[in-house]
Amino acid sequence: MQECSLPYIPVRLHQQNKLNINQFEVGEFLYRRCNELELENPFATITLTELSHNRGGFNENILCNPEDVLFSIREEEEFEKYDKVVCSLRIRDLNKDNGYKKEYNEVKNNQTISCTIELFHEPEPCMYPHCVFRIKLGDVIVIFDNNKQTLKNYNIIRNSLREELASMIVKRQVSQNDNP
Amino acid sequence: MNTTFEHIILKTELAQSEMFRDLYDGLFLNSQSSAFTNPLIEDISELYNNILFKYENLTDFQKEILMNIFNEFNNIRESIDPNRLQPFKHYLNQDDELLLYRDTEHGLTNIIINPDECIAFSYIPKSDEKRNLYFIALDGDFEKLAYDFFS
Repeated sequence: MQECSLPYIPVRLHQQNKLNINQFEVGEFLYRRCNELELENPFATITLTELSHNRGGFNENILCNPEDVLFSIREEEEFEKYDKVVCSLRIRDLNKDNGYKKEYNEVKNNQTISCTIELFHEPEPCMYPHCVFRIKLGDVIVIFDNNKQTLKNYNIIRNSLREELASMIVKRQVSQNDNP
Repeated sequence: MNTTFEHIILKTELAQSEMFRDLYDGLFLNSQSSAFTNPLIEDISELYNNILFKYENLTDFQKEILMNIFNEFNNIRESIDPNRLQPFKHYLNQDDELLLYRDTEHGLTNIIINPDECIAFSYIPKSDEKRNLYFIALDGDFEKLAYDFFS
């Protein structure tokens, strides 16, 4: 397992040998880095790609402080903290597996394409609480390098995803059951 | 509507005034991302032109949709209730989608105009009220869209 080599990251945040926690808790907080414009109108800035957050943990197992999400965990970045604000999202409800997963469909050329957005705990060596909202279009994981090509032709899916992510920020919550 | 050319002339003349150039520049600058709040933006056609100025690369589709929407704004002002019109902002995001939006104490309202073939309306309340998201076609009901935007 890779060790954290960034000296400014507190040891409490290191992954070390800690295991993934695959389930989330209602009431748990997710922390997200935001700029001011994103808080005013998330539609203006949200990129549909892997969306990193920190999970806060719950009860006896607090995993991080809100501002820990501001740490840079990339060695190639020449700064320690992002100059952004922390947006705290409270998990309001989850699916029966204590997870969050939503599916969107769009018909194009008589074919239905399915897209999912799902929340995963995905620890990094320097950030054990790291989690992501992962978007999959068919079998393809949407990342920064392919998001325009993959989602470009699916306007309904793209707008629905962006609306879902925007609603999280506007309402400061994550909800499996809240839908337009 | 006033033509873009007329607006260019007006803006150029005002900006060339030695005495008031800084003042006018500041007013134009402030007018570029909000609507119905600037004393120089006296009517809806000027506001339409103002958006075209700021976002030079709008597609023909976006310009046409914007015209349809602003015609309905004008209809609200002239035929329904001028006080219904409220300040709003605009923004072109990294996917080249033109956003017209209002952020109020009740919630966030967006009209999203995609570069090619999609127009979406979104209302996200800040309370437990139901979210609203719908898509409309080029020949869709823009009167409803405009009405919802100012609701």
